[in-house]
Amino acid sequence: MDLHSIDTYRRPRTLQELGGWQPTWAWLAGGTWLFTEPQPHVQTLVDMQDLGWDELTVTPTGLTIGATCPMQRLISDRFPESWVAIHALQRGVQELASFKVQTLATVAGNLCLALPAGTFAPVMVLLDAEYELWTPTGTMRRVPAQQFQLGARQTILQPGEVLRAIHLPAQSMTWSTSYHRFCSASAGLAIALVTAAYDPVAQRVRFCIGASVGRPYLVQAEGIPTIAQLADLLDAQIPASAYLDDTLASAAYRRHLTQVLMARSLSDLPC
Amino acid sequence: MTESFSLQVNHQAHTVSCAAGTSLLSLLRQQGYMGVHRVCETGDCGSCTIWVDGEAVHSCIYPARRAEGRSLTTIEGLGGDSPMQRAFLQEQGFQCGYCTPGMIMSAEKMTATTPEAIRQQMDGNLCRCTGYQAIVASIAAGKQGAIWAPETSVCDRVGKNVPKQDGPDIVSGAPVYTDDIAPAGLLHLKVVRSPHAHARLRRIDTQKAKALPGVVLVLTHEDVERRPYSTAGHGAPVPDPHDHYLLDTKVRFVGDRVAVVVAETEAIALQACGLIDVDYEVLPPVLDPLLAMGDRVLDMLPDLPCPAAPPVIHDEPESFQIHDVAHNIAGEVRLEKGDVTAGFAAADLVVERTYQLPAVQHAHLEPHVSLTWLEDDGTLVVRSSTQVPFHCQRLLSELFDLPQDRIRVFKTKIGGGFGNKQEILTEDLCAWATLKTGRPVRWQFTRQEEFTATTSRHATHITLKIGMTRDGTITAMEMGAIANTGAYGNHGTQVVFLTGSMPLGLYRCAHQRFVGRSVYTNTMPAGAFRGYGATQGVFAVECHLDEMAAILGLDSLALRRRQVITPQGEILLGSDHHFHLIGSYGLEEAVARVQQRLGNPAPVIDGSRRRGVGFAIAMQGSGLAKIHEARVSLRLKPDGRYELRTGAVDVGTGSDTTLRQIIADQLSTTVDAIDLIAADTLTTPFDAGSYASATLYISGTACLRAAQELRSLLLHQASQLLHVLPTDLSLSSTQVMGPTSLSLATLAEKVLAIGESLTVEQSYSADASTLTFAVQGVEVEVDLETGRVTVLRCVQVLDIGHAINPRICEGQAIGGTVMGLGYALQEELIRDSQGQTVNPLFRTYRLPLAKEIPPIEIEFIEQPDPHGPLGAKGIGEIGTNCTAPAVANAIAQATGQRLYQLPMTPERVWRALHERHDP
Repeated sequence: MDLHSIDTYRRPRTLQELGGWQPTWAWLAGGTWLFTEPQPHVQTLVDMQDLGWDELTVTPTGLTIGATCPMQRLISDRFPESWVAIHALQRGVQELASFKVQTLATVAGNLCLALPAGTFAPVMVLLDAEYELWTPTGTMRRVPAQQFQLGARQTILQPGEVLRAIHLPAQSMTWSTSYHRFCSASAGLAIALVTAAYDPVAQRVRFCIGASVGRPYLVQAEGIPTIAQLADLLDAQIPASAYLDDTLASAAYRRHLTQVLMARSLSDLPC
Repeated sequence: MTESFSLQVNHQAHTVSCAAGTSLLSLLRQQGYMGVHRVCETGDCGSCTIWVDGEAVHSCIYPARRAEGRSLTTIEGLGGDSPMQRAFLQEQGFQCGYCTPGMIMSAEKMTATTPEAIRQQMDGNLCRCTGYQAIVASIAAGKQGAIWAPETSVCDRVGKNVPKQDGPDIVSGAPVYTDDIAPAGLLHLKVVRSPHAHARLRRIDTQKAKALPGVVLVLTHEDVERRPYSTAGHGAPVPDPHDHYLLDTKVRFVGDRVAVVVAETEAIALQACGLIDVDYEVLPPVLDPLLAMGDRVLDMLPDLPCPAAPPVIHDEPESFQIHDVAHNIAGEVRLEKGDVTAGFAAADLVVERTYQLPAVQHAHLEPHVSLTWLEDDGTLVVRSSTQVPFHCQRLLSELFDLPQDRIRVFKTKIGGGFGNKQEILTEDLCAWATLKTGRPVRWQFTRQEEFTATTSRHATHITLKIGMTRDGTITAMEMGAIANTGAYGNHGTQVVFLTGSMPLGLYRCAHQRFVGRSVYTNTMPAGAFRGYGATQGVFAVECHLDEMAAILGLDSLALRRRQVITPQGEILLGSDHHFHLIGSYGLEEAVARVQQRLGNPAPVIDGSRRRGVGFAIAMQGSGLAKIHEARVSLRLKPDGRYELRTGAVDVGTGSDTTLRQIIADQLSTTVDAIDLIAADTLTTPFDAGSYASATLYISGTACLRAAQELRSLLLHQASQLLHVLPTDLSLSSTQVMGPTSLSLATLAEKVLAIGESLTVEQSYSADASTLTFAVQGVEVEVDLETGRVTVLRCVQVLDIGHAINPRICEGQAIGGTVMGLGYALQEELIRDSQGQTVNPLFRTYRLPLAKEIPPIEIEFIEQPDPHGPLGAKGIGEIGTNCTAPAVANAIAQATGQRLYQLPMTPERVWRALHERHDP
């Protein structure tokens, strides 16, 4: 939609061009969320597209996804065959939106939006991703994905700070994964999301829970849990108070679905 | 700050300028690419899909500035004759056509080729009319490179699939909808809407808004005399409560109109709205109709604790035709026959249940929009997306003290309505602004306004009690319906009448009683919506009979089949209000066909999944007897072509084609030989408009009679000229044929030369409304662990008399069924405790997607109806009514658990199952 409050559109080629960050500025990555609702407090859009941050790099140490890399490249690019965990990321793309949005929307933008129903954040936490955050003046810090999202629409980003790149370690890219997302209808905002991984070396299973809770929760097992152990495992690591309770779904139902999806994930994994 | 930049559209260079936050959608429409349709503006519906450097994108969420230097392609760039466009014409993959350009632009970029895979890739495209089936078929054909060309015809008989005549405009994105023109000097209207569910306006300060450069007019209640009216869009005498004001001193729902701003741009109008300072005296709201009635709820639900005296929503003295102001009861309907007490006493089993039906939204893709201007002679012109141009003209004349002949209301192509455009919601303020400023004014609703400030289906609380003997004979039926009419009365009382009369009238039972009320609350008004109250009542009765059959161990469908109304039957319930009768009768055959087609699949148990089948029956009238009038005028023109003038409104269904098909059949010509002028108060005769499944039944009869009269006239005139008997002559598409032939053009020339007329006029209003029947069968799969219901098969057989254009009828039935699936499983307007709608977007209000529904199987029982034109009956609404109860009954068969509330979301299904197993 038209954002009537915006009076300036900037397209810097370097961070230096930008000058001091103002509270009425907003980063514009894909724009696929920003343009879906009025942004009354924003007057300047800072388009990131010319900053050259759109890399998708495969190296021996892992996968790097740049800030403006459109999510569709996770499907169209080629990755090492042993990186089977790429399937979980690809599900994140497919579950998010139509193919017409996938070519524009960015992985990083989706993470910064920090919707509980976000399709990528639980995968990043599951796979031990790290986020590289830059301030507008170029200061960098690196944080584990698990620390990034604080709650619904809340992250640790400071004003003007940007998620410059996502780093996924090569080791976790070799884990087998499973991905289950549940919406009231077949699409829309999820009310429960479970993504799970099996590390064949350590012979351990871990889950990351999204959508039913305000931020991704990592649920780790000692080894390979049985289906009967899942309820205790879940309740030991996610307090009942963490479940969202709103018009989309009640907390009790979200908790129940989470457990059902964990059981289904477990049977998907080759363990 | 606007900035100039260059880009290419359809290989043409443009230098454009726009504000920094402009979407590419708006930029393209400003440049005249009207095939790019504005619908959701949130990237959810796909109607604005275009290509940027060859990639399909939703242009509404694409920053216009980012298009600098890029090459864009819109639907106009495909030329109108691409294989995909031809495929959409071949398979008729559209009804109203508003989604079509976006569908085609998306389809071209889909990689899928099989129907199944195509449905999966259609996530980002919504259609509300077609139920997707014809679109999926179109895309599949397009992927195979359709080479279809229209067949040439010499005579379009009824019963033939004559293509919808607006197809080429639709698939090429032609600028044919209301908002596709922009008169010079156009102003834009926006309103301040109430943030409170119930409040009095103490003071409105418009100073700052008026001072904003670009603001032309600001209006509040202080600028208008209080004059009550109804927005319902009915003919005079208007039966509805007169309880609405152009602008009022009180607001009655979140979204109610407070003040009007008219400005040079939409952005300025919006900004000015934000500068209007309103001091509200917030009043306690009442959101629940049961509480809104105060102690009068006890007449209907005596077991409830006595509620406190409610706030009175319409305490103003000017409003009238309200049943009980102090108890917020807008209208009441009581119907009774026989003696229900005696009937229940004769029963072996009496079951009483409560059903809860939600408010759902029409979600027509084209929003409400009006453009108004003054002609040089002072005539007020209203170009509006309306189902009722003539009622609108009359209302505007009453509101602004203008003679009707000083007002012209017309519609151009409409992007869907489903009843919501029977309401007069945009025309009034838009016309007022034009009268005040003398300038053209445009007012288009946003999608959020559609969800929060138009109308919905009535949320209805139904209590139903039925008595039966052990063999399943129904001894008594008693229904109480409390319909939430929201802040204004609109259609409430008429709607609640159908809630009782249709589903109870369907069954032969001597003892029936119905009490229905439409009750005010501080929520968005409810209004007319396909099915018009019958939808809610049919759900209750069809579920209830199924449950009782199960309790008695009887075959549910056989039980109903044995007791449905017969051709000899008479609908006594409510017959002093309305005049329904049975013409053709294929109901028994329809039941048998559904059973045959669906078979009796064995119950399947697959892990946590269970399957079951369920059935339901519905009945709906065709038009409104006595009061729904249609006039038409038909002539042979000097060039040998015909011209039909009709006030009938094609909302997207295809009636502009089918009405002409009736005429073509009678005149032995083709539809494309009949020029059409429609739905314009200046140039066409009166028609009540498009509602109540009336267009084909009533306007169609007027067309039939006009065609018959013109045919006689032509043969008579030709016989005079040729000196032969009229009986020796016949018509073809080009000439009058006989011993000697005469071309139609020559005939017209000669007859007109001697000053005689070749124009006929006909007027028709039905004495009685014939009844259409539909029978639905579905098979569902329920996941017991999650509560998810998947519809596997969906079969509907309709007893429709004679299908004038079977493909168009099938489109109505499929679209209605899919709307019914949305009602059954996922659609609901959800409001918080303060009356705020929490899901006013397509992202949160979930319409069915192509991938969520199975192919819908439709079959017609065709036995010509003695009352309808050439045997036809109405089909616009009925398809919606029996889907939800069939799904509920299938869930019950699969799981043993009944649901009494819609929509049957996974959580509700899970809760029902969970509470049963684990109390």
